[in-house]
Amino acid sequence: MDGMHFDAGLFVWTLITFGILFGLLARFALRPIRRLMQEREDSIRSALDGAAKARDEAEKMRAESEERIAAAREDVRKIIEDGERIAANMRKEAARAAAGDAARLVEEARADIEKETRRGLDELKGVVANLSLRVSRQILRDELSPERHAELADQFIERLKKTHGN
Amino acid sequence: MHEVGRRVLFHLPPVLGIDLSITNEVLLLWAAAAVTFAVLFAAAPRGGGAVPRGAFRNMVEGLIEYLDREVVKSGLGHEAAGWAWFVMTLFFFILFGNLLGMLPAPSVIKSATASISVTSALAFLVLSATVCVSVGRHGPGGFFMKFIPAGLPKWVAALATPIEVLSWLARPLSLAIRLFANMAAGHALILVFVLLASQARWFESAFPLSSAVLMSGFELFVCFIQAFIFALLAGIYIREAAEARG
Repeated sequence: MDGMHFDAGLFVWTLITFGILFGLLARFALRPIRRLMQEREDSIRSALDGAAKARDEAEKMRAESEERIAAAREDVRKIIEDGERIAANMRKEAARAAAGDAARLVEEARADIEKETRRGLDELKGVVANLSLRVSRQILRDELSPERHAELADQFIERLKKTHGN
Repeated sequence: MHEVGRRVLFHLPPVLGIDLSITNEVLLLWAAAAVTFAVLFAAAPRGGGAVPRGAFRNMVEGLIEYLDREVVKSGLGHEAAGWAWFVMTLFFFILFGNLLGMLPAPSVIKSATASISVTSALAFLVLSATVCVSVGRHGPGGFFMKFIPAGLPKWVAALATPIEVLSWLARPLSLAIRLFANMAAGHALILVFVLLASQARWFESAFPLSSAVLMSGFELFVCFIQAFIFALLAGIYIREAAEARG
């Protein structure tokens, strides 16, 4: 078996060959491959870190959005409550004002009626006085018979009705 | 059919008494180195973004990542991480050197690592690396002090020091012999089965042929495991050299 015999030449050639191969591989193969793998590892790690950071930021933004939505809901609730309260107050005010107006109108109507009644009575008094004066004048001028007296009375009542009816 | 023997293909003058002629074994060595470089260079990125394209690049990157995790990080550790390229080159060179012997041409090609000269050279490199690391970290004094166990009486330390030196030298020796023996024995066994099958009549050749096929599958596994063990132990030795003192 030749392999068992030590060959100094082959020993030296092995050292030389390995030295050259080591230099070539380190320069052209192993170093570029290892560098690429390291870059890839760094890139993947960086991407994972970025993804984790983005996820954290998204989570933070989601929490902030939820807080804002909750605050907006609270604001809306307050606005609605304020609106309802204002509307209720306005309704009460309107009802109160309407009641006041109605009472005032009724009072005015009553005052007008009383005033008109008083004025009518005053006119009636004038008419009665006038008629009485004329009846007295007629009685004085004419001799009154019982028939004539009844006739005059009827005429007086008729005139009174007409005057009062107008 | 016979095992591949040493054949000189191109004579070169000796240098310092060492015959550096180009032999078929040197060619196998170069072939293993060329295949290693071709495979890893083909998998290296040349533009086109960081996403690996194709199963081949994925496979090579997966293998490198596996080595990075299992050999560099757990073997070399943090202190000797600068030796990662050395250990990875060892792994891939040994792996493709081993796999050369799996090509179905046993009379022409054998594993580049099925030679004690090659494996001992690789082990010598590991030994040199541990010396460099140890001297670099702890100085020459620190390097030699590691052979003298601390806290022992002087006469015990004097006895223990040669044992420590032998233990230290046995490490690369065991690396070299383990790799060579596994590769040479596995391929020799396959060769024996193939020889048996070729000599037997057709109905007698079923057992040796099926055994050769089974052994070939197992040898593929051994090729990978031996390269991994060599690289892992090299990483551990280098890390120990960086850490330990005394």
